[in-house]
Amino acid sequence: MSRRPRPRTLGIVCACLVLLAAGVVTGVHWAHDRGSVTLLANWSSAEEKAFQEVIDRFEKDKGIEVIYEGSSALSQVLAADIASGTPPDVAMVPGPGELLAYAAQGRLHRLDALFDADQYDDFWTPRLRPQGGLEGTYWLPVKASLKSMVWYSGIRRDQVAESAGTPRNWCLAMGSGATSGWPGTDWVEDILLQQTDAKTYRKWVDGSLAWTHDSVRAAWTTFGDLVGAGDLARVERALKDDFDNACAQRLEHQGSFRAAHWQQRPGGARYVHSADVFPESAAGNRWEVSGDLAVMLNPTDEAKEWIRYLADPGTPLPGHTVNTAATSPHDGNSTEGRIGATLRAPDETLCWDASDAMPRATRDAFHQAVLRYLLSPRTLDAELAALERRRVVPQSTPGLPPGTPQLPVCS
Amino acid sequence: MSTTGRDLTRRLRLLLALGAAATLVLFGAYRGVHDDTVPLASSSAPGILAVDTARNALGKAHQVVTRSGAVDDDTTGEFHTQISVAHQSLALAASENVTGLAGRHTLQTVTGLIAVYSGWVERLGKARHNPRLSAVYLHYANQVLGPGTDGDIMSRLADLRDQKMAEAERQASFPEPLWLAWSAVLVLAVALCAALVEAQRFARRRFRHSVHPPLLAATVLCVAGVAVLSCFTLEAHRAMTGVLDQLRTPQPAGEVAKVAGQVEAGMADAGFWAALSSWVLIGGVLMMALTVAGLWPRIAEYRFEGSR
Repeated sequence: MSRRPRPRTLGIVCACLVLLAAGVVTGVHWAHDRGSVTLLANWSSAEEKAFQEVIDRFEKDKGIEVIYEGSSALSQVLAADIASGTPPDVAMVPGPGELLAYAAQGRLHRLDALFDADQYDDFWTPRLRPQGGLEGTYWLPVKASLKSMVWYSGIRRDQVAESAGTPRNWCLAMGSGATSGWPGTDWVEDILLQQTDAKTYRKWVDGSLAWTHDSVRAAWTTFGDLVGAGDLARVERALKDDFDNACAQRLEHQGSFRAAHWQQRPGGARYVHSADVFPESAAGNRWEVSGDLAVMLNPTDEAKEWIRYLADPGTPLPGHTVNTAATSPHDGNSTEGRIGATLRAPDETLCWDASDAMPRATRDAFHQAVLRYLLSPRTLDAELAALERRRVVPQSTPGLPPGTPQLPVCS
Repeated sequence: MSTTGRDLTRRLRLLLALGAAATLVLFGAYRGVHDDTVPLASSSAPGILAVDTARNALGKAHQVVTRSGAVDDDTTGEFHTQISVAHQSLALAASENVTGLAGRHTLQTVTGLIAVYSGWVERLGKARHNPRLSAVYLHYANQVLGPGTDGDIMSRLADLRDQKMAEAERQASFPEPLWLAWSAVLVLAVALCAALVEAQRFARRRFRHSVHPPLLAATVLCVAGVAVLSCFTLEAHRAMTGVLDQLRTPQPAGEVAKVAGQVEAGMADAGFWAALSSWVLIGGVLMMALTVAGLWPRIAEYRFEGSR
């Protein structure tokens, strides 16, 4: 005959079960709640929404909260955060210019142990040796954009060059919050790249070529002629319009991020290389590119996990990745597929967006000069002279000692 | 054979169990309300008002710009004063740290955006002889300041205020677990008082004493303690609700100081209320000690008789 357990025994067993359940719940909660990582980037609108999906997946998979702040004033915010000693754990900076200075100041932490840099072209992940620091890779390209593109609609491909000669055919919009003016600097940079060569472009970016040089001046005047600089009514509107506004004209000189917008136009997203459009361009395979580069400013475990996650070829990222181990989600014949293939093609010459590769002060002055030039093209000489006074000659980048490897401006 | 000793022991155990349960539940319920009174008074409310001050200051600064068309020698002082007020208020809001790490980073971003805004205004001042360029710079300054654009200063501050307000509402709320805890406090207090009265009557019948002072003192302590703490809790909840009502809508510049004074006056006793929580445990221990003091000597007498 079996004995029934006494009430006291039952009570003790129940209490133990409750304690065990509480322990399991606490343990599971603890295992899923593994701290947080602060992230600063300049995404907004659709870009932010797309990247939020990546963040959501990471938070779900790793149990690490990502505290994201996005702003067009990324550069100013990051500089202030670093100066005040409270930088974000990870920042996504569009271009390597200011990162060189931060690396030289010892603000960035090496990422070598966190991902395989061999999966990226040296152009995207150069090895740097900051003063007093260790040689290594200091940034991870998370999202790449192809520039040197002219989107078109409502005309045939062979009519693009002809249409380009009429300013009113172009979409032109300079507004972008803290960085207003950058679409104009993209024009000037790209024209210089297409009208000269990668070597000249590199010299201009690293400060070896004067702003007052004829080739630079020609790039500015070509830009002004194409978009109608000095046409006050048109230019005033263009300066106030945001760069991501809907474009109703036939042509737009913008990067690959505009594919979704042009996809909605009749005929879909179609583009030609800007060298086919800009006058006096040398036919070639030179492309201006930009990329959101992830840098680690606080080497916390959570920040390292986030970098590893972003570098994992299996992580689906928005936009285009330059990780050669990752499989492109796009059909090779589609517009997006061709853009992705160009970004990873070994025989194409890729050059960093010049203003993104310049020191911060020079870049900001460049943005301002473009705004003023569009309204008053007659002031070009004065603008170039002012920029020339700011030129940072090679090997004198603030914080970079002699012998520091220079940024590979072009691949 | 007399069962008095056993009856007394059973009553003592019941009273101690009820006393311990009532004390612990009252402690939890009281802390559940009053743990948030001090943070609401000293952190959340000032943080929200600091954000309001920053928004008002930035609005005034922008009025200076739009009124004069640019910042010139006559208006630069007022403009920079208002920008300084905004910075100081944001520093205060950051120091309150109500919304944690995320809130701190939002404030850092807003501070950076204010620098960008000031930059556009300075350029506007330099370009005041070029109306078209001035109009463009003013447009950029408007865009950065907002509201109405994506990620502008005013929108971020409004979002931050909403987050801080949500935290303040959480602090001032009286959620279901608290209702449950206070209901349990009342049930346990009534049960404890009833058990104390019953023990008093039992002891009076058996030992022919009209009153057992320790048991009476324990009963008074239980009733008075629960009543006083309930009153303070009710008062605190009313005060917190009043504070929330005052903070719910953004305060205009002239009202911030007045509302801050009202919040301070309304929550002046928050520290005292919160400090009473440790007295709940002391009071509970005292009440149980009085219960033991009332019954233990009688129980001891019967134990002595039993062992003889």
